[in-house]
Amino acid sequence: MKFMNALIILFLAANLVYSQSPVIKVQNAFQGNSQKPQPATFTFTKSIGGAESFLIDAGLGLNFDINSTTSFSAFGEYHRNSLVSKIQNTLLAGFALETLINHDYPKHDLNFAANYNNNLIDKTEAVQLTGEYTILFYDESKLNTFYPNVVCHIGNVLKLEYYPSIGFECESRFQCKNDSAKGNIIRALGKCKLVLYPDSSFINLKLEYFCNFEYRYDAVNSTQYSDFSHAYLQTGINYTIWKGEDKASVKISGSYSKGSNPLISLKEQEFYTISLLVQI
Amino acid sequence: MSDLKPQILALVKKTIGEIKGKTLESIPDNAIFANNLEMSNPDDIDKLVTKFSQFIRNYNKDEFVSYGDCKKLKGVDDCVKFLAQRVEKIEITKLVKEAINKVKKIPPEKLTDTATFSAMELTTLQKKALAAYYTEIVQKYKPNAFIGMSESVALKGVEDSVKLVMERIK
Repeated sequence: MKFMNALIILFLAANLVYSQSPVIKVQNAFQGNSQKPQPATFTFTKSIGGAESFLIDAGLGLNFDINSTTSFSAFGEYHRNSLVSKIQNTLLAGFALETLINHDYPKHDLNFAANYNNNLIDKTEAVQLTGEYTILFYDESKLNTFYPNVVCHIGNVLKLEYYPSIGFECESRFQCKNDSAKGNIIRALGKCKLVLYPDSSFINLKLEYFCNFEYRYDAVNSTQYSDFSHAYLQTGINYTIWKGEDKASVKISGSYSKGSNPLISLKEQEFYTISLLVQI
Repeated sequence: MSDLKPQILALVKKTIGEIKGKTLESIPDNAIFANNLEMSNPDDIDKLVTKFSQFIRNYNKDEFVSYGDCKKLKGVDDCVKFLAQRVEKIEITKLVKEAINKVKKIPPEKLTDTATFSAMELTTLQKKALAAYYTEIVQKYKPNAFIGMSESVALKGVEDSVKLVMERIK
C-alpha cells in the first residue's frame, strides 16, 4: 500500500513538473541505457493444491519531453520470480532523466535515475542513484564499420547491433532485517547488449541471437557483506512469430541467465527461460 | 512561408482572370467563385489544374495538383491557402530528408516521401538524435516550439515526420 501511494505521488508530481502530454511506456526496466528495452514479461501459475508461482519483470513509466534533447520519466517497476532457486521480489519507483549532449558528432547520451527500492524477500529498503553513459557516432553505413548504437553490417549476410554503456550505482540501504546489511554502496558499472541477426535481403529468417552482459564492482561498501564483484549474463535466441508495423511483434524466446544483479535484488544463480514476448 | 503569399495571390488572380476573361484589378483578394466567377465547368477546373501544377513543379518536379483538389476550392483565398500549404509541405519534406541525412548518411534525393525508419535501419538513439534536427526546422517558423525525443522515437518515417513538424508550426 505504501508503495502504491509512493507510485501515485510520483506520477502526479511528474505531471505537475511538466505539463506536456506524457507518453506511457510498458517495458522491462527504466533505469540506465534504454536503447534496446526488453518487453515486460508476465507469467502466473497456480498448481492444484500447490502454491502459486510468478514471473513478473515489468515496469510502467510516464515519459515527458523537457526539450528536444532531454526527457524525464516517472516509473514504477516490479520484479518477481518465484520460478528460480533464489526467489526475487522487488518493487522500485522513481524518476529518470535522459539527455543527449553535443550538437555535432559524436553525441553523448547520459541517463540518470533516482529511485526507492524495496526488496520484499530480504526486507531491505534502499534509495538508489544510477548514472550511465553511451556514445553515438555519425552513421555512414559503410560495411564493416562497427560503431555502437547503430545497425552494423557484417558483409551482406549478417547485421549486428551492440549497445555498450558505462556508469555508476549508489545505494543507501536505510531499512534492513538485520543491521549488518545497512549501509552505503557505490558500484562501478559496465554493460553491453549485443544482437546478431541475418540480413533479410540475404535470407528471410526471423531469428536473432542476443547477449546481455553486465558487470558491477563495489568500489565502496559499508555493509557487512563482502561480495564486491557482480557479473550477470543473459544470452539466448528470439524467434519472431509475427511482426506488425514498426515495433509491434510476437516472439518466442529461449535464454540462459547466470549471475546476479543487485540493482533489482537478483541473487547469484543460473537458470533457463522459455517465454513468449509480446511487444506493442 | 508568409513571404510567398503575395506571389501566390498574384498567380491565383492571374489564372482566374485568364479563365474568366477578367482583369486582375476586378478580382478582389477574397473573391468567392460562387459570386460571378463560377468554376464548375470541367474545362475551367482543368485550366486551374494545369496552372497550379506548373507552379507546384517549381518546388518539386514530381508533385502535381489533382482535378479533385481544384474542384474543392471555393475562392481566391482558398486557392492561396491550398497552394501555400502544398509549397510548405514540399519545403518541410526537403528539410526532414536533410535532417535524416544528418543522422545517417542517406542523400535526400535517395529518400522517397514514404520511406520508413525501419527500412533506413535507424536505431532508437538515432531517432532520439533526430529530435534536435527536427526542432531546428520547427524553430525557423516558431522559435519556442520543439520536438521531443519521445516524439521522434515514436515516428515511423518521412511521412509522419513531415506531419508532426507541420502540426508543431501551426
